[in-house]
Order: sequence, then C-alpha cells, then structure tokens
Amino acid sequence: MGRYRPVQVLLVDDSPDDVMIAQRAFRASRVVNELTIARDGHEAVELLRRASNPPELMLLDIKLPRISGHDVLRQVRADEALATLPVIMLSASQRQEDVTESYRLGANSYIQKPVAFGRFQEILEIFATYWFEVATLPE
Amino acid sequence: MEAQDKPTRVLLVEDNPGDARLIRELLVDAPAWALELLLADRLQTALGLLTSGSVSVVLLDLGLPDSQGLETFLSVHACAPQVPVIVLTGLDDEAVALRALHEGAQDYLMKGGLDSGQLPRAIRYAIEREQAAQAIRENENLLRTVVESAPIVLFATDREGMISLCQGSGLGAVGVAGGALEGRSAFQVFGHYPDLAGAVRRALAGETHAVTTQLGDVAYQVHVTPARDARGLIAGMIGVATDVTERTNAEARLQRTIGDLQRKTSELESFTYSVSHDLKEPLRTLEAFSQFLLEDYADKLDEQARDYLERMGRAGVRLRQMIEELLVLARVGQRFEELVRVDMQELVRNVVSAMQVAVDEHGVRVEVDRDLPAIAGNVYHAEQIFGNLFGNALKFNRAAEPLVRIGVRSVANGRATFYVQDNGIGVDAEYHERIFQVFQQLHKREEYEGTGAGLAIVKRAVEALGGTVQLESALGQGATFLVRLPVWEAGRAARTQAA
Repeated sequence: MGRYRPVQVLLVDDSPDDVMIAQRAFRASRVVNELTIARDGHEAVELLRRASNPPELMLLDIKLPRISGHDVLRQVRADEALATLPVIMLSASQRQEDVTESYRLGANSYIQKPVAFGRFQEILEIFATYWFEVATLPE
Repeated sequence: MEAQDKPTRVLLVEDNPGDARLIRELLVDAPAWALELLLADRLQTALGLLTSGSVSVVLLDLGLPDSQGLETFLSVHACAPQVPVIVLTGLDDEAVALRALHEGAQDYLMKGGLDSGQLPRAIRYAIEREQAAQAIRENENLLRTVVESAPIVLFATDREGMISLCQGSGLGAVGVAGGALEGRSAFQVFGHYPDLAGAVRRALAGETHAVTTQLGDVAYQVHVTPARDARGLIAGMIGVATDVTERTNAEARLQRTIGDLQRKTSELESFTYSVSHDLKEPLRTLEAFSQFLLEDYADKLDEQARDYLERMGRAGVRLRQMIEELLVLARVGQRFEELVRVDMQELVRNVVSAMQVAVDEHGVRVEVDRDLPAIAGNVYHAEQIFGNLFGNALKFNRAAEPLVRIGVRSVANGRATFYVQDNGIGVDAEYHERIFQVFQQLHKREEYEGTGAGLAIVKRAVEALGGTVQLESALGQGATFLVRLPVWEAGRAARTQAA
C-alpha cells in the first residue's frame, strides 16, 4: 500500500522473538513505517526524550524488565512534551485489570498479542489503517 | 392400696395403759383394714421397734417415762424421718403439739376426743400425705441432681428480677457455686453483661428469646422465657444457659478453614490463569517461527520436512486450545458475587445460532422447548454450560438424522432441570463420572477433534451457579445431559436491583 504518511513507531518489547515477529508482521502488512526498538522501559523513555527524530507513536508491552509498561506510560503522561503521544499497549495479557489500568493511565488503545501470527498480521493492518490513515496524530 | 400388699403397722407409743387400751379398741373396730398394732411404753422401746421393723405410722404420746415434750417427737422423727408421726396430746399441751407439727409431724389428735371414725382416717391421711411428700421430695432430688449435674445453668427470677434459683454444673466454668447467686438481683449480678441483663428484662416483659454471650472464656447460649402464674400474669422468668464454647470454637475453626480453602482455591485459579498465560508466550514464538520456516524455506524443504513441520504446527494448535481451555476453566470456577436474571430462551437461541455453521454442515435438526424458565446466575457461566453441551451434542453424533433437543424437564423447589439431548454415539455408564474430568477423552483424536476440557468446564460452571449436572446415557443410545440450576424468583429480582 505505502500510501500512509511515514510515521516513526517505537516498539517497546524485551523479547527478541516477539520483536522479530512484530517486525515481520509490520513487513507482511506492508506497513512501511520505520520501527524503532527499545528493549526496556528506561531505554524507551530515554529514546522518546532525546531522539533527534522522536517517535510519533509507541507500541508498549506491559511485562518489561526493571520498569513496567504501566510505569513507562505514567512517566510519558506526566511529561509535558510527551503527554499527547499516542500509546498503544501491546500485551499478551487478557487480564481485565491490565486493560483497565492501561486505559486509566492514559493508553489510547489496547491490543492483545494474538497467538497466531496470521491474526497478528491482520490486527496490525487494522491498526495501521486506523492510526496512519484515519486518526490525526499530533504534530 | 397399701393395705392389700401388707398390713399397716401402727406403732403406738403410750405409757398410759388406759389410753393404750382405748386406742386399740378404736382401731380394732376399723372396717376392712389389715392393721397390726405394736405397742411401746417408752421412747427407747419405740426407737428399737422403729429401727427394726417396717412401721407405717407412729401414734406418739409426748409424755413418756424416759422422754418428755417436743424432745420425744424430735427423737422419733430423727430416728425414722420417712415414717409419719401423729402426736397424741392432752388438752394442756396443744402448743407443744403445734411445734411438733412445725418440725415435721403429720398431725396431732386430742386424746379426749378420739373416735372410731376419726382415728383410722387420721392414720390413713398421715400415711398418704407422707407418701405424697416423699414422692415430691424424690422428684425434687431427681430434678436437683439433674440440674446440678447438667452442663447447663438453670436460673429463675421473680418479677422484680431477684434470682430465686441458680443451679447447674455449667456454673463451675465461670467459678460460681450452685445457689450462690440466689437472693440477689439478676440486674446487679449481670451488670457487666448487658446482653444477659437485657435478656432477663425482655423475658420479664413477656418475650421468649435467646442470646449468645461470652462470660470470660465461656460462650453461653441463653434461652429465656417468662414464667406465668395461674392467672397467666408474669410471675418471673426462667433462663437456661448452655455452654456453647466448643460449638462456637468449632464454628470459628470451620469458618477459618472455609476462608483458607476459598483463598487457596482462588490462589490456585489465579495460578492456573497466569501459568496458562505464560505458557502461551513461548507457544506464540514456536508457532510463528515454524510458520516462517514454512514460508521462507518452502523451496528448500522436502515432503518429509514439511510433514514434520505440519505435525509440529498441529501440536501447537492443540496446545493452544488446551491452554485457552485451561484459562476458561480457571475463570469459570470463580463465582460471580451478583446473580442476575438470565433469559434461557434467549441464551439457548444465541448458543444455537453461534453454531449454525456446524448445525447446517452436519444437517442436524435442533428442537428447543418454548417455555424455558429464566435462571438466577450469569450469562458467562450459562453460555459455557449450554455452549459446550450443545457443541458436544453436534460433535458426537453420527446418526443418519442427527437430532438435538434442548428443553426443561421439570421445575421444582426453586430449581429447573434443563436437558440437552442428542441421538448420537452415547457414553458407556462406566465413563459417566470420568468424562467430567479435564482433558479426558474417550475417543481417538482422529475420530473426534477437541481437547476434552468441555465437560470439565460445564461441571465447573454449573457448580459456580450452585447447580448440578448429570448424564443419562448408554453406548449407542444417545446422551441426555441434565443440568439443574436455580430459577429466577421475583423476590430475588427486587433484592438484586435494590443492591
């Protein structure tokens, strides 16, 4: 497709396998946006604050080493410069508490990591259509 | 009555031969009465006869050569307290006779006025009275023994709350001697126990009720009831306190155990949930990369390599199903606090339409009763129950004209018995219990797909709703699952909506 405005996406996930799967799913769904990877919460926050070309959208896992995805989200929302950054939780958790807490802390969406790769790819396409085509991102 | 068994032995203690003769004559004239008269002219002789023989009654002159006045009576009475004594007296010592009466003599007679009608009657009365008094004493003793040794406290007060009786071995537990509280005010004695004082007050106001109260280490359950006089007016109250310490402790232990079990069950469910969840993560990786291998290296893999990978893939799918079902099983075991009205007609309709594809594919005829009652439960559990049962009814059916019927067999005692019936392969009676265990399958995997968690989920969901499930089936005869669930009642609706 490639008709979207290129959007910098930050993926925060500590599992190298999951990162590879996500990258492949992005490729397979022809989402051409550049994917930056952070392997833990600290790295993610550093990247958001210091990058010369800062990410415009974050895909954030909950279960992360050191500081959890929820803590990252809390820090992001407390930071004036990052408060409006769209954050999409991408977690394997089906727990209602995790979902509720994510939205309470200001997540824009919650995607449950599907087990089957095919399904993951479909979801990414829906996600891309919404976030890169329908929604208007902050400048 | 006694006369028929043995003769009445009358001991006449009289030192005046004239008086003795007179009395003998009066008694001999007595009609139809087997009577034996013993004579003693001294106290010592009398006491000897009393101790040796079975004397029925004593006619006692108080003035004897070896004893005088009241002393004479007291000696006789002390020697044989259960033998009635009639004091014979002259005109001059009626005062002494009255004192003897007070000390326990049955009667007194003026020697001057004796006649053949009065004397035998007086003797009979004295014996009867003594027997009656003795029966009362025996009853009293029996009652007292019972009360004193029973592990209770029995107490009574008058209308002002003054304790007239307080007995029972239960008193020992609080360090009070039997009878020690008698004569004191209940309100004062129970001053530090407002429950108890309140119970006495309510009983005196005419109320019968029970309180449980703690006195030191001892828990008492106290039943109080007003005591009424012959006119029905409240004359006081009676209380019975039972030591329920053991029971109270046992109940507390039971409550703790139930709490522990509930916590452990909930921990276990949450453990199952998170384990199942964590298991899915590596599975996702396995599935994804075996798929990548198939996609990226398709041209390099020969038939056998692809077969191996496909086998791995199928195992992955199966493992994922099992994990998903474990997750459902963990969740389905959790009870929902609030019961709501579940429209079973609608629920069953939804269950059937959700599986319409499978119904059409197998050409199954589905018949649903039109009068399914609403249940008190929740949609989640009900869907798990009927979804799985309906799914099984479709799956395990190779009949030429497959038929599934869903309906209600009976409604009684607040419970409805629903049935899900098929004309499928049926289940041998031997396996009726085992099929409700998780991952139990009776068939080879190639024959019927699935993991064998469905009926375990059904059972847990039914139990979470406080119901029961049971199977009626024989091999080759189809299967009927009976699910008993609480029906929705209007009164419950009001309560839930108010909450």
